[in-house]
Amino acid sequence: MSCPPLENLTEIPEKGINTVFDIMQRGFNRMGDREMLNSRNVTILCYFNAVELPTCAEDAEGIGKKSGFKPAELVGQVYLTHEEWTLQHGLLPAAAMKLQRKAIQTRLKKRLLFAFGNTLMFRSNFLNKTKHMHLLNIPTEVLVHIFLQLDPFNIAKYRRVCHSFNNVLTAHPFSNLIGLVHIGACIKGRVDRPDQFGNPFRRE
Amino acid sequence: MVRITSSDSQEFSVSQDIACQSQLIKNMIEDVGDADEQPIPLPNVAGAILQKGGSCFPSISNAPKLTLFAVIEYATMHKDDPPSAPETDAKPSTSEDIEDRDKQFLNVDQGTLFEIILAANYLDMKSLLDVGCKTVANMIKGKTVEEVRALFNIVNDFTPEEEEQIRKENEWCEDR
Repeated sequence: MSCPPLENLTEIPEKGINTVFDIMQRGFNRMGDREMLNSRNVTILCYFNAVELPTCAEDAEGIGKKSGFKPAELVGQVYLTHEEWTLQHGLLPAAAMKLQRKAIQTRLKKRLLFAFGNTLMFRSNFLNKTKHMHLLNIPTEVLVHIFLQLDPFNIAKYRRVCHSFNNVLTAHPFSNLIGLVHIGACIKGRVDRPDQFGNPFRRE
Repeated sequence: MVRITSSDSQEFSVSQDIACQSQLIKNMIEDVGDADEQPIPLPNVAGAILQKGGSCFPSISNAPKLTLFAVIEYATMHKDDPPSAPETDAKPSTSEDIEDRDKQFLNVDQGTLFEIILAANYLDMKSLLDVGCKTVANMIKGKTVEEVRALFNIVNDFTPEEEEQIRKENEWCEDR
Protein backbone atom coordinates (compact mmCIF):
# COMPACT_ATOMS: atom_id res chain seq x y z
CA MET A 1 0.00 0.00 0.00
CA SER A 2 1.24 3.44 -0.82
CA CYS A 3 0.37 6.82 0.72
CA PRO A 4 2.22 10.15 0.83
CA PRO A 5 4.04 9.60 4.15
CA LEU A 6 5.11 6.09 3.17
CA GLU A 7 6.30 7.32 -0.21
CA ASN A 8 8.37 9.94 1.59
CA LEU A 9 9.82 7.29 3.87
CA THR A 10 11.10 5.34 0.90
CA GLU A 11 13.05 8.42 -0.15
CA ILE A 12 15.04 8.71 3.08
CA PRO A 13 18.47 7.94 1.63
CA GLU A 14 18.26 10.64 -1.05
CA LYS A 15 16.09 13.56 -0.19
CA GLY A 16 13.26 12.76 2.23
CA ILE A 17 15.02 13.86 5.42
CA ASN A 18 12.82 16.87 6.11
CA THR A 19 9.67 14.81 6.07
CA VAL A 20 11.15 12.14 8.27
CA PHE A 21 12.41 14.87 10.57
CA ASP A 22 8.85 16.13 10.97
CA ILE A 23 7.59 12.66 11.73
CA MET A 24 10.32 11.99 14.28
CA GLN A 25 9.73 15.33 15.89
CA ARG A 26 6.31 14.14 17.00
CA GLY A 27 8.04 11.65 19.23
CA PHE A 28 10.52 14.14 20.58
CA ASN A 29 7.89 16.80 21.13
CA ARG A 30 6.14 14.32 23.38
CA MET A 31 9.37 14.10 25.35
CA GLY A 32 9.88 17.86 25.30
CA ASP A 33 13.31 17.94 23.65
CA ARG A 34 13.70 18.88 19.98
CA GLU A 35 17.47 19.10 20.20
CA MET A 36 17.97 15.40 20.67
CA LEU A 37 17.20 14.40 17.10
CA ASN A 38 19.96 12.29 15.59
CA SER A 39 20.12 8.87 14.04
CA ARG A 40 20.92 7.09 17.30
CA ASN A 41 17.98 8.63 19.12
CA VAL A 42 15.68 7.98 16.21
CA THR A 43 16.66 4.32 16.53
CA ILE A 44 15.98 4.44 20.27
CA LEU A 45 12.61 6.09 19.77
CA CYS A 46 11.65 3.42 17.29
CA TYR A 47 12.83 0.80 19.77
CA PHE A 48 10.46 2.07 22.42
CA ASN A 49 7.56 2.52 20.00
CA ALA A 50 7.58 6.18 20.82
CA VAL A 51 7.05 7.22 17.24
CA GLU A 52 3.51 6.88 16.02
CA LEU A 53 2.57 7.92 12.56
CA PRO A 54 -1.05 9.03 12.91
CA THR A 55 -1.09 10.95 9.64
CA CYS A 56 0.30 7.95 7.84
CA ALA A 57 -2.32 5.67 9.41
CA GLU A 58 -5.14 8.07 8.55
CA ASP A 59 -3.99 8.30 4.94
CA ALA A 60 -3.62 4.55 4.68
CA GLU A 61 -7.06 4.03 6.22
CA GLY A 62 -8.59 6.48 3.72
CA ILE A 63 -6.97 4.71 0.79
CA GLY A 64 -8.11 1.35 2.16
CA LYS A 65 -11.72 2.54 2.46
CA LYS A 66 -11.68 3.93 -1.07
CA SER A 67 -10.32 0.61 -2.29
CA GLY A 68 -13.19 -1.26 -0.64
CA PHE A 69 -11.14 -3.04 2.03
CA LYS A 70 -13.01 -4.76 4.87
CA PRO A 71 -12.74 -3.16 8.35
CA ALA A 72 -10.26 -5.82 9.49
CA GLU A 73 -8.02 -5.01 6.53
CA LEU A 74 -7.79 -1.28 7.25
CA VAL A 75 -4.60 0.11 8.77
CA GLY A 76 -5.24 1.18 12.35
CA GLN A 77 -1.81 2.18 13.62
CA VAL A 78 1.61 2.55 12.07
CA TYR A 79 4.78 2.15 14.11
CA LEU A 80 8.38 2.52 13.08
CA THR A 81 10.68 -0.19 14.34
CA HIS A 82 14.43 -0.11 14.72
CA GLU A 83 15.04 -3.32 12.81
CA GLU A 84 15.80 -3.58 9.14
CA TRP A 85 13.33 -5.91 7.48
CA THR A 86 15.42 -7.86 5.05
CA LEU A 87 15.18 -11.38 3.71
CA GLN A 88 17.92 -12.41 6.17
CA HIS A 89 15.92 -10.87 9.02
CA GLY A 90 13.37 -13.65 8.64
CA LEU A 91 10.19 -11.56 8.66
CA LEU A 92 9.92 -11.14 4.92
CA PRO A 93 8.99 -13.84 2.44
CA ALA A 94 11.39 -15.40 0.00
CA ALA A 95 8.97 -15.97 -2.84
CA ALA A 96 5.31 -15.71 -1.85
CA MET A 97 5.58 -11.96 -1.12
CA LYS A 98 3.55 -12.28 2.06
CA LEU A 99 4.69 -11.24 5.51
CA GLN A 100 5.74 -14.09 7.80
CA ARG A 101 2.91 -13.63 10.28
CA LYS A 102 4.01 -16.36 12.72
CA ALA A 103 7.58 -15.06 12.84
CA ILE A 104 6.37 -11.49 13.32
CA GLN A 105 4.00 -12.49 16.11
CA THR A 106 6.76 -14.41 17.89
CA ARG A 107 9.52 -11.85 17.50
CA LEU A 108 7.44 -8.74 18.15
CA LYS A 109 5.04 -10.28 20.68
CA LYS A 110 5.58 -7.73 23.40
CA ARG A 111 5.35 -4.76 21.08
CA LEU A 112 2.20 -6.10 19.48
CA LEU A 113 0.69 -6.58 22.90
CA PHE A 114 1.68 -3.03 23.70
CA ALA A 115 0.05 -1.70 20.57
CA PHE A 116 -3.15 -3.70 20.41
CA GLY A 117 -5.76 -5.61 22.37
CA ASN A 118 -6.36 -5.24 26.05
CA THR A 119 -3.03 -3.48 26.47
CA LEU A 120 -4.57 -0.37 24.95
CA MET A 121 -5.72 0.51 28.44
CA PHE A 122 -2.24 -0.18 29.75
CA ARG A 123 -0.74 2.02 27.08
CA SER A 124 -3.12 4.91 27.56
CA ASN A 125 -2.39 4.70 31.24
CA PHE A 126 1.28 5.23 30.52
CA LEU A 127 0.46 8.28 28.48
CA ASN A 128 -1.90 9.74 31.13
CA LYS A 129 0.58 9.69 33.94
CA THR A 130 -1.46 11.83 36.27
CA LYS A 131 -4.09 9.10 36.62
CA HIS A 132 -3.87 7.09 39.82
CA MET A 133 -3.02 3.49 39.08
CA HIS A 134 -5.58 0.80 39.79
CA LEU A 135 -5.19 -2.98 39.81
CA LEU A 136 -7.48 -3.29 36.78
CA ASN A 137 -5.22 -0.92 34.78
CA ILE A 138 -2.58 -3.64 34.85
CA PRO A 139 -2.36 -5.59 31.58
CA THR A 140 -3.81 -9.07 31.45
CA GLU A 141 -0.45 -10.83 31.19
CA VAL A 142 0.58 -9.30 34.53
CA LEU A 143 -2.73 -10.24 36.17
CA VAL A 144 -2.07 -13.80 35.01
CA HIS A 145 1.40 -13.60 36.57
CA ILE A 146 -0.16 -12.45 39.87
CA PHE A 147 -2.67 -15.31 39.95
CA LEU A 148 0.06 -17.80 39.10
CA GLN A 149 1.65 -16.94 42.47
CA LEU A 150 -1.44 -18.16 44.32
CA ASP A 151 -2.53 -21.67 45.17
CA PRO A 152 -4.34 -22.83 42.01
CA PHE A 153 -6.83 -24.69 44.18
CA ASN A 154 -8.01 -21.47 45.75
CA ILE A 155 -8.15 -18.96 42.94
CA ALA A 156 -11.34 -19.99 41.15
CA LYS A 157 -13.46 -18.24 43.77
CA TYR A 158 -12.02 -14.88 42.67
CA ARG A 159 -13.86 -15.20 39.35
CA ARG A 160 -16.74 -13.49 41.15
CA VAL A 161 -14.77 -10.30 41.92
CA CYS A 162 -15.41 -8.65 38.54
CA HIS A 163 -15.52 -9.35 34.80
CA SER A 164 -11.76 -8.76 34.39
CA PHE A 165 -10.89 -11.37 37.03
CA ASN A 166 -13.46 -13.77 35.57
CA ASN A 167 -11.99 -13.38 32.08
CA VAL A 168 -8.44 -14.06 33.34
CA LEU A 169 -9.41 -17.03 35.51
CA THR A 170 -11.44 -18.78 32.85
CA ALA A 171 -8.77 -18.45 30.15
CA HIS A 172 -5.41 -20.13 29.65
CA PRO A 173 -3.62 -21.27 31.82
CA PHE A 174 -6.26 -21.37 34.55
CA SER A 175 -9.04 -23.01 32.58
CA ASN A 176 -7.30 -26.40 32.86
CA LEU A 177 -6.43 -25.96 36.53
CA ILE A 178 -9.97 -25.08 37.45
CA GLY A 179 -11.11 -28.19 35.59
CA LEU A 180 -8.70 -30.38 37.57
CA VAL A 181 -9.79 -28.96 40.90
CA HIS A 182 -13.39 -29.49 39.93
CA ILE A 183 -12.66 -33.20 39.43
CA GLY A 184 -10.97 -33.27 42.82
CA ALA A 185 -13.87 -31.53 44.46
CA CYS A 186 -16.34 -34.08 43.07
CA ILE A 187 -14.92 -36.62 45.49
CA LYS A 188 -14.07 -34.14 48.19
CA GLY A 189 -12.50 -35.56 51.30
CA ARG A 190 -10.32 -38.05 49.51
CA VAL A 191 -8.73 -36.14 46.68
CA ASP A 192 -7.73 -32.53 46.84
CA ARG A 193 -4.83 -32.31 44.43
CA PRO A 194 -3.75 -34.11 41.27
CA ASP A 195 -0.62 -35.35 43.05
CA GLN A 196 -2.86 -37.15 45.53
CA PHE A 197 -4.78 -38.92 42.81
CA GLY A 198 -4.41 -42.63 43.49
CA ASN A 199 -6.34 -45.87 43.35
CA PRO A 200 -9.40 -44.52 45.16
CA PHE A 201 -9.68 -41.81 42.54
CA ARG A 202 -9.31 -44.29 39.67
CA ARG A 203 -11.96 -46.59 41.14
CA GLU A 204 -14.29 -43.61 41.46
CA MET B 1 27.85 4.78 32.74
CA VAL B 2 24.43 4.91 31.07
CA ARG B 3 22.25 7.99 31.24
CA ILE B 4 18.50 7.38 31.34
CA THR B 5 15.76 9.99 31.10
CA SER B 6 12.24 9.51 32.40
CA SER B 7 9.21 10.90 30.58
CA ASP B 8 9.27 14.06 32.71
CA SER B 9 12.93 14.75 31.83
CA GLN B 10 14.45 13.51 35.09
CA GLU B 11 17.88 12.19 34.23
CA PHE B 12 19.65 9.34 36.01
CA SER B 13 23.21 8.10 35.53
CA VAL B 14 23.67 4.44 36.33
CA SER B 15 26.37 1.91 35.67
CA GLN B 16 25.84 -0.34 32.69
CA ASP B 17 25.49 -3.51 34.78
CA ILE B 18 22.65 -1.90 36.74
CA ALA B 19 20.91 -0.57 33.63
CA CYS B 20 21.26 -3.94 31.92
CA GLN B 21 19.13 -5.64 34.56
CA SER B 22 16.41 -4.38 32.26
CA GLN B 23 16.41 -6.80 29.36
CA LEU B 24 14.86 -4.10 27.20
CA ILE B 25 17.69 -1.61 27.87
CA LYS B 26 20.29 -4.37 27.56
CA ASN B 27 19.02 -5.39 24.13
CA MET B 28 18.82 -1.77 23.09
CA ILE B 29 22.39 -0.97 24.16
CA GLU B 30 23.60 -4.05 22.30
CA ASP B 31 21.78 -2.89 19.20
CA VAL B 32 22.60 0.82 19.37
CA GLY B 33 26.02 0.86 21.08
CA ASP B 34 27.93 3.88 22.48
CA ALA B 35 25.87 3.96 25.63
CA ASP B 36 27.44 7.01 27.26
CA GLU B 37 27.04 9.43 24.38
CA GLN B 38 23.54 10.68 25.04
CA PRO B 39 20.78 9.83 27.49
CA ILE B 40 18.44 6.95 26.74
CA PRO B 41 14.89 8.27 26.79
CA LEU B 42 12.25 6.08 28.46
CA PRO B 43 9.12 7.84 27.25
CA ASN B 44 6.83 5.26 28.78
CA VAL B 45 8.28 5.07 32.27
CA ALA B 46 6.26 7.16 34.61
CA GLY B 47 7.40 10.47 35.93
CA ALA B 48 6.90 11.77 39.41
CA ILE B 49 4.45 10.05 41.70
CA LEU B 50 3.65 12.29 44.61
CA GLN B 51 4.04 9.85 47.42
CA LYS B 52 5.57 10.68 50.75
CA GLY B 53 7.62 8.60 53.10
CA GLY B 54 9.08 5.78 51.01
CA SER B 55 10.46 3.61 53.76
CA CYS B 56 13.40 2.43 51.68
CA PHE B 57 14.55 5.95 50.90
CA PRO B 58 14.94 7.53 54.34
CA SER B 59 17.15 10.33 53.08
CA ILE B 60 14.44 11.65 50.78
CA SER B 61 11.46 10.53 52.78
CA ASN B 62 9.54 13.73 52.08
CA ALA B 63 10.51 14.10 48.46
CA PRO B 64 8.47 12.97 45.49
CA LYS B 65 9.35 9.42 44.67
CA LEU B 66 9.90 8.46 41.06
CA THR B 67 9.04 5.15 39.50
CA LEU B 68 12.24 5.16 37.51
CA PHE B 69 14.15 6.12 40.63
CA ALA B 70 12.56 3.22 42.48
CA VAL B 71 13.36 0.81 39.68
CA ILE B 72 17.01 1.93 39.62
CA GLU B 73 17.12 1.65 43.41
CA TYR B 74 15.90 -1.94 43.14
CA ALA B 75 18.40 -2.76 40.39
CA THR B 76 21.24 -1.29 42.50
CA MET B 77 20.15 -3.32 45.51
CA HIS B 78 20.28 -6.52 43.43
CA LYS B 79 23.33 -5.79 41.27
CA ASP B 80 25.47 -8.42 43.01
CA ASP B 81 22.83 -11.16 42.94
CA PRO B 82 23.89 -14.34 41.15
CA PRO B 83 22.24 -14.80 37.76
CA SER B 84 18.90 -16.52 38.14
CA ALA B 85 18.72 -20.20 37.25
CA PRO B 86 17.08 -21.17 33.98
CA GLU B 87 13.36 -21.68 34.47
CA THR B 88 13.61 -25.41 33.93
CA ASP B 89 16.16 -25.80 36.79
CA ALA B 90 14.55 -23.32 39.17
CA LYS B 91 12.59 -24.54 42.17
CA PRO B 92 8.92 -23.65 41.99
CA SER B 93 8.53 -20.41 43.88
CA THR B 94 5.61 -19.35 46.02
CA SER B 95 4.32 -15.95 46.97
CA GLU B 96 6.04 -16.39 50.35
CA ASP B 97 9.52 -16.26 48.76
CA ILE B 98 10.16 -12.56 49.18
CA GLU B 99 13.35 -11.30 50.77
CA ASP B 100 12.95 -8.88 53.68
CA ARG B 101 14.70 -6.08 51.78
CA ASP B 102 12.25 -6.53 48.89
CA LYS B 103 9.29 -6.52 51.27
CA GLN B 104 10.58 -3.26 52.68
CA PHE B 105 11.20 -1.88 49.19
CA LEU B 106 7.64 -2.61 48.10
CA ASN B 107 6.06 -1.36 51.29
CA VAL B 108 4.37 1.48 49.37
CA ASP B 109 0.83 2.51 48.52
CA GLN B 110 -1.10 0.52 45.90
CA GLY B 111 -0.73 3.12 43.13
CA THR B 112 3.05 3.18 43.49
CA LEU B 113 3.20 -0.61 43.64
CA PHE B 114 1.23 -0.96 40.39
CA GLU B 115 3.38 1.71 38.69
CA ILE B 116 6.52 -0.21 39.68
CA ILE B 117 5.02 -3.48 38.39
CA LEU B 118 4.09 -1.82 35.09
CA ALA B 119 7.58 -0.34 34.75
CA ALA B 120 9.14 -3.74 35.51
CA ASN B 121 6.92 -5.36 32.89
CA TYR B 122 7.75 -2.70 30.31
CA LEU B 123 11.48 -2.71 31.07
CA ASP B 124 11.48 -6.52 31.12
CA MET B 125 12.95 -6.89 34.63
CA LYS B 126 11.88 -10.40 35.59
CA SER B 127 12.98 -10.39 39.24
CA LEU B 128 11.25 -7.08 40.02
CA LEU B 129 8.10 -8.18 38.16
CA ASP B 130 8.11 -11.46 40.12
CA VAL B 131 8.49 -9.81 43.48
CA GLY B 132 5.86 -7.17 42.64
CA CYS B 133 3.35 -9.81 41.55
CA LYS B 134 4.07 -11.88 44.66
CA THR B 135 3.37 -8.83 46.80
CA VAL B 136 -0.02 -8.30 45.15
CA ALA B 137 -0.72 -12.05 45.38
CA ASN B 138 -0.03 -11.90 49.13
CA MET B 139 -2.51 -9.05 49.42
CA ILE B 140 -5.17 -11.24 47.77
CA LYS B 141 -4.30 -14.48 49.55
CA GLY B 142 -6.85 -15.69 52.10
CA LYS B 143 -9.33 -12.91 51.42
CA THR B 144 -12.96 -13.33 50.47
CA VAL B 145 -14.31 -11.95 47.20
CA GLU B 146 -15.87 -9.01 49.01
CA GLU B 147 -12.62 -8.25 50.87
CA VAL B 148 -10.68 -8.26 47.59
CA ARG B 149 -13.18 -5.83 46.05
CA ALA B 150 -12.88 -3.53 49.05
CA LEU B 151 -9.07 -3.75 49.22
CA PHE B 152 -8.53 -2.81 45.56
CA ASN B 153 -11.57 -0.58 45.20
CA ILE B 154 -13.05 -2.84 42.50
CA VAL B 155 -16.66 -2.31 41.51
CA ASN B 156 -18.77 -5.43 41.12
CA ASP B 157 -19.71 -5.12 37.46
CA PHE B 158 -21.75 -8.35 37.25
CA THR B 159 -25.51 -8.34 36.93
CA PRO B 160 -27.20 -10.30 39.75
CA GLU B 161 -27.94 -13.08 37.22
CA GLU B 162 -24.31 -13.28 36.07
CA GLU B 163 -23.04 -13.38 39.62
CA GLU B 164 -25.52 -16.08 40.55
CA GLN B 165 -24.39 -18.16 37.57
CA ILE B 166 -20.74 -17.93 38.62
CA ARG B 167 -21.69 -18.65 42.21
CA LYS B 168 -23.37 -21.86 41.04
CA GLU B 169 -20.36 -22.87 38.95
CA ASN B 170 -18.12 -22.08 41.90
CA GLU B 171 -20.18 -23.87 44.53
CA TRP B 172 -17.42 -26.41 45.07
CA CYS B 173 -14.79 -23.82 45.96
CA GLU B 174 -16.64 -20.89 47.51
CA ASP B 175 -16.16 -22.18 51.04
CA ARG B 176 -12.41 -22.77 50.64
